[in-house]
Amino acid sequence: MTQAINSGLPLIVACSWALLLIVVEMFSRDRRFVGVAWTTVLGFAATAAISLHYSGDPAVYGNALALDGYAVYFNLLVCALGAAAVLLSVEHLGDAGIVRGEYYSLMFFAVIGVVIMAAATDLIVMFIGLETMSMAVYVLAGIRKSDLRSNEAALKYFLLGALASALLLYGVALLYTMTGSTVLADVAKALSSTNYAASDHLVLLLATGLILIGFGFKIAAVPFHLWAPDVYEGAPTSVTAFMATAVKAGGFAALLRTMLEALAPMRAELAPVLWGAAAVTMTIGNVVALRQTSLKRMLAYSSIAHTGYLLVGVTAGTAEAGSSVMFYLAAYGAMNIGAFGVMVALARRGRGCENISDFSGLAQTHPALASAMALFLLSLTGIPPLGGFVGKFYVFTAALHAGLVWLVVIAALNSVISAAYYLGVVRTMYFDKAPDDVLPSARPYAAVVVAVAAVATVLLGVAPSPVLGTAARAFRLVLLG
Amino acid sequence: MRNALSLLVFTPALGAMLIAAIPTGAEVLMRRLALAVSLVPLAICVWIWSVFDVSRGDFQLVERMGWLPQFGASYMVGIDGISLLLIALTVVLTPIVLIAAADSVHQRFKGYLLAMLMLETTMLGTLVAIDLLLFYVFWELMLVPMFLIIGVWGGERRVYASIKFLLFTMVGSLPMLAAIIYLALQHAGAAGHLSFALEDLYGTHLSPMAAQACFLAFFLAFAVKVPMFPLHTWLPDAHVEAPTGGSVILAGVLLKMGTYGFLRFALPLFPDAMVAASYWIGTLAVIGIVYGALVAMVQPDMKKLVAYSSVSHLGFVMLGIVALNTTGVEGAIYQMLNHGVSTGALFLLVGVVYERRHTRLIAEYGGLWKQMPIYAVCFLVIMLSSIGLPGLNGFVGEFLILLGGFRFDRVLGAVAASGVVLGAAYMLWMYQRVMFGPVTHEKNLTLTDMTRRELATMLPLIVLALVMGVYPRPFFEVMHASVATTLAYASKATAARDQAAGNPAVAHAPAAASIRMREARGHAQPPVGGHAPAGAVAAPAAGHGEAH
Repeated sequence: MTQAINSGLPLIVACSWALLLIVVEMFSRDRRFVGVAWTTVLGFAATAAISLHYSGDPAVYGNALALDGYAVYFNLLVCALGAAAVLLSVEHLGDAGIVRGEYYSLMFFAVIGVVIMAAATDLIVMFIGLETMSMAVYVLAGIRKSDLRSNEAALKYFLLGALASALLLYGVALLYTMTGSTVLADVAKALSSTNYAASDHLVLLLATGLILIGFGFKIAAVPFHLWAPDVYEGAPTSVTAFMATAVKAGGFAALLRTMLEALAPMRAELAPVLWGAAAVTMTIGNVVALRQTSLKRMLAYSSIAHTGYLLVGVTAGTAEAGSSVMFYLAAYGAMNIGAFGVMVALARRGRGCENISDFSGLAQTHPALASAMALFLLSLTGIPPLGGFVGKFYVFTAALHAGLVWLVVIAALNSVISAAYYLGVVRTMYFDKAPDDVLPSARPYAAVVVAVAAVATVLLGVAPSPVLGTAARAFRLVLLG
Repeated sequence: MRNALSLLVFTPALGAMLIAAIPTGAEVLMRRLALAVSLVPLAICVWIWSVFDVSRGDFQLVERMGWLPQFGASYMVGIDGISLLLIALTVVLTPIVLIAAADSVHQRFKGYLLAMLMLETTMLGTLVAIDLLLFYVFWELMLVPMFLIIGVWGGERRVYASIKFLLFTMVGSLPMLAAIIYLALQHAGAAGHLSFALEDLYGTHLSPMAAQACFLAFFLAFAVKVPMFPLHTWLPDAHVEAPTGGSVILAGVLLKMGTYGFLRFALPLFPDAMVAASYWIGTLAVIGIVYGALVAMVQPDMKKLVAYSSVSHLGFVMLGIVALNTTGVEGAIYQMLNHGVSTGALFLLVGVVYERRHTRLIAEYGGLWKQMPIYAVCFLVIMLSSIGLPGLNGFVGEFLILLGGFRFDRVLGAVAASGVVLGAAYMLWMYQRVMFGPVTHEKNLTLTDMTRRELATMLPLIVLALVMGVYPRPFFEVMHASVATTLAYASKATAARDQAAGNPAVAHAPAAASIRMREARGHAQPPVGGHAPAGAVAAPAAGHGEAH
């Protein structure tokens, strides 16, 4: 019983904290909600600390939740990303013209959703986590209530997202009819021990296909990516940063556990689908990103491309590949939060600083910010010895180990394509002349987030061993459990 | 000095951080500090040279530290004679470039110094890395400062040139990364643990198909960098647009990374594939020699002329390498140094008049001999060294390469020899048009001769060209054992190749011949046991005799 409470404790604390935030916000007289923001950060810290303290417990609540190494890894990651997004918001809400205290509690609820998804060992619980996260993010995406473009994006996101959730749930239901369980381990057991008739097998394929579509939407895999550029562009930059990193991490946390644990017996049949999805996703993401003039849209397509690289790891499907995806998400989170952070640092009311051309000559006017941005972009390209390189290297190694030579070749070629647009931004910052109306000086909160993200990006490249080791250990336990 | 190599590599980067802290405006201080910083690696290099054991062909001063234990990748550095010579070239050229910066860089001076020092760190890192992943890290990282140097401080079409430079080299090197991983995984399959250390990966068993595919990936990465015909098209653009210092380093050191890669990695890791491809590579090299020379001949722009001459000269180096005999490879290594000295100096010289007239068109000049006598003399010495006049450094390298090339294949050798004539033609013709005749342009009447600072950048290179021309022994002494070790990896395949071509005498040179050659060169040491290199006959001694 105490074990059950311990495993659920991070969730209990997080949920209470989110409710507390709603109350705190009501009594906040500060229209910038700085106090609320710090309370939120404190809540993330508490959640992370508690999950670290009680880690290692096996599945509880009738095999619905497990606070294993895998869950703890994602808890820490998503709490860090959430805290970074919150700190970016402190100044950005004002710059984006948003006066809404519930913003922070919504972000907290989204993180709770991810925490549930990462810990869920039951498909229904996973679905609850997914919905908790999605509901909060739907609102966050449309939080600029007076902005038509933002409204359109949020509505699009909500309608498509609801459809994807329904498909996912339908898939889970079908899987239940075939296996008699929604617990990941039991599903795997049933799948591997039962000999299905041809018609039943068809139902199984349909079920897994629907589940894949549901997750594919959340991680913005082609062809379920169409919402991403509009939503990323329409949402305030701090929300975009959150969606591109934490929400994506949540989607992969759920997908990875489902694919590699519950659906492991069907890997051979799903591999070609995943292979194709990975190849098409990274190629389309990169090629379309080449043509963007808005940095936000470009980063949206780049995040689609990175989904493709991550799917390479999922396709490989080994323990090594699983932990490589976990590491990649951390590196990707650091560099992407940083890149969005630079945009936030320079944004002001009525001047979003969202176009690539806004960054002309940044190296002369803001040398420190420009070099940080260059660092993030080089890391996104995969230039060593930065975090992005080690992530790619790890994923590619795992994929080659699993025999996916051609997929790795495609991924390597894609890295070259991506170099063209990432370095196009570096070019604008370093080679072009600064415009006459110089950008304002950097916002201090955002500057701190950028600095921390830069340090993390470098550390994940130069000394990645601790994170790599944690990911590898965590993932091995998932497969054993 | 247990960490001599790490100190060598990271001093410039640390210095760059120091300079970054100096506020803009104190440019003289920055310049002096940068120069002082860049002299430290030079001093370390002198020390390393003094303790370097020339009788050993393996890696020396090895340092090893854990880096990514999960992958068996470590921070592992070490040098042999080949890398030592290229390190020496790097640490000599960098201070010169930093001195020259005061004349040629007119904006964002601090950034330029930082980029140059970071570039030096990455170049030195590439040369000392003996872990494949670490090598790849430095290899890729090297692109970034060079990209910025071309793009920020370059000429009119700098943006186009810098992006082209970057994309060409990246397309070349990513397949190499895939091949590196593949190789390590194959090794892990046999040995049970993952490792990227070069010494572990030697002799990894690969199927012939896989070895050829991996070699192709390495070939692509290195051939783009060299650059070999037909992958050279980025080079003229990059050179023409780069600032003077960028061109000097690009031609002087960066191009050598490609040829170095062939010797250090491609040859020992995939000896059979490299030997099998040697005729193809040799043919491309010779095409590059002739093509580069012919195109250089018709260039109206001095810098472009020098750029194409690089394509031609690097063709010589590649021919010497694929000859895979001691003569050819040693000549190739020597020619790498020569090219660094003479082409680096040529770019500096072009920069001298460019700063005065802001044009590099040959037609704009003429009669400079009278206006700038010191300049004309410096140019003369360097030009003759580049042509390969006996008594200057270029001759020794070219001669050995041709000798090795003839042994390898007579036709290729003969065609390559025509490149020497063409080389003399385009250089002399340019010299004539720029220096002699009446002064045709009014603006040239007011030209001033070289300043003291410009002379300071030029004199070390002229001295080197002379010393390397008349006294090449210490350089060959340093490289000899390492070349023997390198060639030993491919000795079996090379012997088979040369036998098939009807060249048995070359293939199985008796060890005695090798000793004779060493004695002719004045080596005191006995030959390294077990490394009797193929293709060593007494003939090179004759070459040296003429060189003296």
